[in-house]
Amino acid sequence: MVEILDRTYGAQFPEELECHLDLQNASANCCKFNRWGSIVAVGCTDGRVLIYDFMTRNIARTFSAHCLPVSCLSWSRDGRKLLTSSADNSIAMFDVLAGTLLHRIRFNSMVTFAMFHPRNDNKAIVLQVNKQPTVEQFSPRIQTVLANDTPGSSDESASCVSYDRKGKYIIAGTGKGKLLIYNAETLKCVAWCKQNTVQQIRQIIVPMKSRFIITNTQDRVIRTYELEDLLHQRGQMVEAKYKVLDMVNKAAWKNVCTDSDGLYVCGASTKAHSLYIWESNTGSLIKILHGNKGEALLDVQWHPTRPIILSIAQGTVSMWTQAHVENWSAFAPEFQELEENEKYIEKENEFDMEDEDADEDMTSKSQDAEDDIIDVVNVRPEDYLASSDEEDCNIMKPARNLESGPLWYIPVPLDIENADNDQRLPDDIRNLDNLLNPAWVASAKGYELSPKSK
Amino acid sequence: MNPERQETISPKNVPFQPVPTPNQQSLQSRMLESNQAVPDAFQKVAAWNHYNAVATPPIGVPQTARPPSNQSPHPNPPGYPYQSHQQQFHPLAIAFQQPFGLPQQVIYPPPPPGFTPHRVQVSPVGLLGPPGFFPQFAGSTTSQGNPSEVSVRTKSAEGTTGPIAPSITTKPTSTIQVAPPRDPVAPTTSSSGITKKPENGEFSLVKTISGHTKSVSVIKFSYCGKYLGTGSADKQIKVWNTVDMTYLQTLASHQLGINDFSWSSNSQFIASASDDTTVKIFDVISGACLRTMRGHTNYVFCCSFNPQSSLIASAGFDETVRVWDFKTGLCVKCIPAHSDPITSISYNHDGNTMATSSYDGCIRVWDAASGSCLKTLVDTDHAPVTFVCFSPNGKYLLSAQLDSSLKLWDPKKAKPLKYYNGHKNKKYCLFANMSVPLGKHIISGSEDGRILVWSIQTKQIVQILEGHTTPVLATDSHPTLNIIASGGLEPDNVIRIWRRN
Repeated sequence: MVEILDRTYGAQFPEELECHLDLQNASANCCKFNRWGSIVAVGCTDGRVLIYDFMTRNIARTFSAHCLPVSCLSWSRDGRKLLTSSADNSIAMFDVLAGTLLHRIRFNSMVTFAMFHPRNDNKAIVLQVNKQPTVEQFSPRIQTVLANDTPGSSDESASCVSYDRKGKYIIAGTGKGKLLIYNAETLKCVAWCKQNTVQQIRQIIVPMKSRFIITNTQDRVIRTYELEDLLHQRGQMVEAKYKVLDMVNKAAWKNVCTDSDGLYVCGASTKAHSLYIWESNTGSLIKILHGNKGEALLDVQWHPTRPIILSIAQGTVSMWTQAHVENWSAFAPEFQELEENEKYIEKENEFDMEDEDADEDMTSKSQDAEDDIIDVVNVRPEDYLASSDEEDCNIMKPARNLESGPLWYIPVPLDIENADNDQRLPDDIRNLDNLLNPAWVASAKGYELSPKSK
Repeated sequence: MNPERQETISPKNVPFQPVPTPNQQSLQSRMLESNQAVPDAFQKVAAWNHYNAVATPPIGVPQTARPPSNQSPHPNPPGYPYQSHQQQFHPLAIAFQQPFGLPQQVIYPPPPPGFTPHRVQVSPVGLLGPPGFFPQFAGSTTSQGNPSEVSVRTKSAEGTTGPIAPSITTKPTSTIQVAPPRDPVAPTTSSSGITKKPENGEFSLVKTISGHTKSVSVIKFSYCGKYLGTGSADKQIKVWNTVDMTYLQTLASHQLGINDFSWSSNSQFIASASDDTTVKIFDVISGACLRTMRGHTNYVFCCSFNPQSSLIASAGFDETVRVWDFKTGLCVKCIPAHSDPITSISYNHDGNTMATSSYDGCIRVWDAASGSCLKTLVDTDHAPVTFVCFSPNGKYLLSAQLDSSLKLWDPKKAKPLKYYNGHKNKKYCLFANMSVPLGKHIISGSEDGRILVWSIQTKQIVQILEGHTTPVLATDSHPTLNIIASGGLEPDNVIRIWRRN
């Protein structure tokens, strides 16, 4: 969609509060977009999970997943499965289209994080309170513990964990500011390093399209690293490639998210309903979005393809969007909006009565048009995968009827309770009172509304 | 009261007789003012006085009516108590003005009887209908301009560009009414112009379906390929089984002709646009009308489901695009999109972008989520655009113009890439479509009864299908098989199925 525009209008980050999602008396605790941003899952404090069609903002599915607050949500790559983790010591996997429960695994402690393997929906990484992260395989059922066998820090526990963009590595953050990188297949530690702090790493974020990983540390600094740089480390201290923090208030960050390109970083403050947006590579603060006072933020999510942010505070899901800037150039071609006065230099033949080069221009134009190969069928992989370097483009091609490929939308059932009984009337009545509403005239004249004969 | 009135009138009569000319002007202006300014409550009083005044002409009241009007235009200091005096007798003054107007009413007796039937017609309906009845009545009044109840799409563009429905346009006299050939294999003409029997790789007529009693305005295969839907000016949508082209169901709930309809992605529902300013949702299997969406103020000319089948976009002669929520039936968006009636609306393959075309010669591309305009496509000829649709991958736009040309646009560059000519399209809004099984073709009907097949890449006419005797508006190609369906205008009214060998 962006490619159709000649240039971008308005900011590429959210600027104002637009609306709240209708939770129907539920209290939200966390939320997660699917790969395309067409469906959003909201986990509630009563253990339910609401699936929204993000285009119409309607609830498409409701899962009674848990009996305690949902702590984390994760979508599978094709969007057909949803993984939920909860404070009731269990994780659950649902088939989103069918609305059925596929797996439930119970643990001994509260589960704070669960994440699908980016390429394999039969695997997930699970993090429990005060325990080492485990890699779970659902079918057949296998559980493997990620051991911390680095020298001198065997007793440190992981405080956060994440797969990298393609599921090749697992990145774990410890309570003392260390990063451990495991091979996702062999589950052996291949690299480890230190940040320039010994405080706990609270969160690891991996943008969809970039080569970076972002850490949210308890020292209130958000650091950006390049994954390739970390793979060569053996315990050294690594300086962050970029870092952002709140210079004024020294706010702590409850949650951090980025857009899919990794150009912007958004931090959710722990003390106020405030969202800070920085430009990632320059570290400059470009926007602070203020919500209601006194509300504490719980979660924040950036839309995969649009400048939209969902934030959860006080059980309410708020939606922040771009300020609407009217693109007047779109209504008339060759009309261009100017930011300031420009000196106009007319073209060579612009005001000539006769265009001497008209024939040549038309000839060259038609030749250019002839050479183009018109492909009306194939969709480019980046249009439906949001990435251009995927290796399974054919499998992930979306189908209109959802029989194959990813679940890129949820079919909407018609609300039959509100369907009106617009029945057919006798021909004589309809022909006679075409100007009026037939039902009322028929009622007034005492005719019965006969159902359709066929 | 009466003696006092007489006393007050008689002494004023004497001093104001010498000035007759200003009296007439002031009298006329006062009558106009009183007619305009009197509210409804006083109209009853005036009417009562009117009847009372009728009985007094023999007494010579017209003579005495002139003196009291003389008093009002004089703002003298002694006139101030006269004004206060006049306010007290305001009804009396009105009463004395009515006799002056009596000759007019006597001269024009027909107007009063003309108003009575209007009240009789409106008030009983008002009592029967809900408070919101009147806007719908206005909508019905708009439909009244189309007494023949023919779908607006099946009328030529010359008479349909205005917001008010025109009279029926005369059909082209050059059309010769010939009975359809009995031979099931109709003769086909190749690009060389030589009539010959169909060869391998060419389309041939396999079936002729009768079922509609008026012009076929729209034909669409369902996305799964099992059903064929045909909409007509006879207010019905018929659904056919594509395996053997047998009848399946009739969807009949519209009050006026069908202009367009759209299948949902699961081929279970049909959304239809009609002249009766409503958009309806039908269940295809049961034929029941599940929902009626009201909001358009003029003919609804086109409608389309989005690929997710969660929204329905409709547009028409009120120059607005309305987006309806499929689940609830509510109008979630209303976009004033063009400056002339909108002729077509189409979503791209992922539902993020929408394209509309209009008689104003513009094709506009919209962001479906926010409703903002992304781009406007205009060519140098500014011909009215009657149809627009995205290519299956959403990368190109195919449009039909009223200058007998089809164009393939690159919306990114905002310019046409290819032109397809050879058919005739001057009056009607034809449908065009891309056929992708076994080669990429563009298929369109023509106003001379032919159906043309172009190659997308080379722009050459691959085949011309002949068999219809009237203009062919509706054509569609099967999503997976090499089948084309076409429908003709009156008096043809049949659906022809063509299959490639």
